Amino acid sequence: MNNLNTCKIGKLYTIDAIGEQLPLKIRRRMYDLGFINGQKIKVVRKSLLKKAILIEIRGYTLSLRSTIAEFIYLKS
Amino acid sequence: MINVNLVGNPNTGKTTLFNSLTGAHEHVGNWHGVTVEEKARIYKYNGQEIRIVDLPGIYSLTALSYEEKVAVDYILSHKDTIVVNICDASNLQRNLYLTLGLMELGVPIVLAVNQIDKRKNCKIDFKKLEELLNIKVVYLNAGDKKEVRKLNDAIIELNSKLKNNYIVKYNINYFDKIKKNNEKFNKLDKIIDKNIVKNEDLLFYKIKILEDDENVKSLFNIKNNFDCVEEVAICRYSKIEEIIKSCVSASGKVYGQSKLDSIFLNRFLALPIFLLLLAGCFYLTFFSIGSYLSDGLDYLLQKFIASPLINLLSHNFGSESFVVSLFQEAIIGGVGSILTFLPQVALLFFFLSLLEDSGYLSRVAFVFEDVLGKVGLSGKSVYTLLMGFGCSTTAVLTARNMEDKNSKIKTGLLTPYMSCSAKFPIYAVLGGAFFGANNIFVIIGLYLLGVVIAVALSYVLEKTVLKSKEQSFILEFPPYRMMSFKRTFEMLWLNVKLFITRVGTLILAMNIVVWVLSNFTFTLKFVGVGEGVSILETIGKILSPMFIPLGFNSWGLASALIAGLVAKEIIVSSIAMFNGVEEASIESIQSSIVLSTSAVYFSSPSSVISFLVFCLLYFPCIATTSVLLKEIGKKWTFIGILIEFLIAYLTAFFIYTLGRCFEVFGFIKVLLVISLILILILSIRRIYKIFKKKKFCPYQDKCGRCK
Repeated sequence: MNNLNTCKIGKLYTIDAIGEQLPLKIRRRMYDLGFINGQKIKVVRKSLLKKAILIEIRGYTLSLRSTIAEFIYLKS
Repeated sequence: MINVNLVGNPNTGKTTLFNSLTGAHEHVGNWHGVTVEEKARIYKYNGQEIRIVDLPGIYSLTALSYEEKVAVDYILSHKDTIVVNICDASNLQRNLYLTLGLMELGVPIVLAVNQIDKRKNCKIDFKKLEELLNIKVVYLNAGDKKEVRKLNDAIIELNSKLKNNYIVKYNINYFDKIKKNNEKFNKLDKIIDKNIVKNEDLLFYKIKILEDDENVKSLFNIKNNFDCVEEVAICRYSKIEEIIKSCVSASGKVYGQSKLDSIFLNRFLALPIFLLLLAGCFYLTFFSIGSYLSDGLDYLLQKFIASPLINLLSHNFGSESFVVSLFQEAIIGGVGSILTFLPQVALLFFFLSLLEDSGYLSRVAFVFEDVLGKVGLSGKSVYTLLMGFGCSTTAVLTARNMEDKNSKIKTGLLTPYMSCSAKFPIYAVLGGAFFGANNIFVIIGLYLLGVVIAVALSYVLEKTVLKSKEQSFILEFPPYRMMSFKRTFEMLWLNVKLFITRVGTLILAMNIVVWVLSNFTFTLKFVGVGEGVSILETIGKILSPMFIPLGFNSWGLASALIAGLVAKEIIVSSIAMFNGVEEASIESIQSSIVLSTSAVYFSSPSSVISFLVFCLLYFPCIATTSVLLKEIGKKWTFIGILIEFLIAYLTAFFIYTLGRCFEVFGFIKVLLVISLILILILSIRRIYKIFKKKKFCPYQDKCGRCK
């Protein structure tokens, strides 16, 4: 399935789910920040070694580690 | 007295508001998590005393990092206190999520909507917002002292309502869907102990249990997971969307994005740009503007304060008196020489706050995430490490931004390796004596050495005893902001004041102590005339042999290093005192340390470098140690200090030996030998690899793990 790491930069996607692989604490934070099913999301840019990604969600900008982004699944 | 808690998302202007309300000068910045502990202050408004508590920023009432836990615990244990919930107008949607959480908790709320960037295309219908939430809404600019009066009025109004038995009640209808369809939710009634929870708090606890909040669950001995976190979040966000739709006209602009990012965050340019900016800041501070101002101050101090004072004193007491000696050596030579660094230290702190205020720091964190993630830190550590260039003591506190214990300990331990502003005078004075204009390379080298050792140590700790959990690097990007003229001036003035206070109190007192100890014998006889051995000289002579391998064997340096534990600047002022420097000038200290007759004397450039390296790396000052004890515990502080001392000793030894080799045998010969040794080591490794037998691989080399 497409996730935040594999998707294209600058294109609008819809969140499907957050993988159970992530610890509960992180998942809860992601939900608090608005990463819920059906939410529109966009990857703005990636760092040089692609370990950090910058995303746009709900009108604000947020950075994430790619190891987390891997488990944020998108609808195709 | 009215009690008020200041609550809001990170970087929404809580501390700015706190400062405007109370007239305090707490540290603020355009970064996520500047405030890491609660700070209280009482102020008066219209004869009414208000005690306001500034809390670290949070996203919800369940904490992820340490500074968030401080805030959440505080709010939960002060449920009857009025909460001023501050929201950023340009990011209202996400900010309201916390507001809903607070409403569920049932605390009395005043909503302060902060319009820092007054964007014309984002309009909020405040009346409607007030109606929908049933909360008093005040819109203001948190930095404007006049506008915050509206907030004071609202607080007083709410307080008098509460006094008249007004019961806070919010309409929390958005969980109806869960209430109807979720069986787990309805079973909770049986599990929750009614003796612990009051009836009106029931909903809050039920929701927290559905969110699997560890703290609340342990309160009721609940072990199983409910897995309803997303469902709860969806309920809240659907309510928020409803509110936003009817109150806010779309702005279209994304919070925290700017065209500048295509340069500052360019994949290839970002790192060079940052390094250039940092180098520029350091150059301006230490070598151009800063050093001109320093020289000017030096001249003024000498001409208008030092010389007249000494003339007056020797006239009254006679030039041989110990009073004159005390003033000349401890106060003018010692304190004065530190005071001349005022422009440089103030500028350094100013540049650091400029980096912080502009919003650029989050971008730097993003750039460094690649590297820092690998050594078990997070891009967020950049904040702590950069603050460490200013003052380690306050920087260690910001390690609370980390999400797990081991990363927090690691960040705390690494901070003292960042060369703090107090160490700069040592480099400038001692290095300048031997290297003159080339000292700039020595200083850059020292700063880099600190950073490299910190990163290497972090890597070693990560691979051995302090393995950290995965950090999320969830970091909100703030918009770029220009520092206003007023704030620029305020920042400069504040830093000047802080430095003068530090020199006038701690350093002055310590200099007098060092002077007394170095001028009186154990039998309390004054040694100024050249009789007997002073207390410090006796102690220093016992310790100094241990520094022979490092290339400096003098009682003065050993004593200066001990005195420097209180504050690193004192190393310079002690040397000035021991050498009997009687002017507040850097040059006279410099000319004294190259004289072989002085108490503190360096024989060669390599012994100076060795001493500088030792100063950079040895024990943190007492203030930092006490903060470390509080933040990372006794065990790790002790281990950390021990490691620091070992690293300092070994690095200084290595550098001194290498330097001596260069001095004695000449540059080219040593370089040849070193390259020969390197080639030898590399070829041995190569041969070893070839002869090493391949192990049996169950995956038949397909998984790629062996490579």
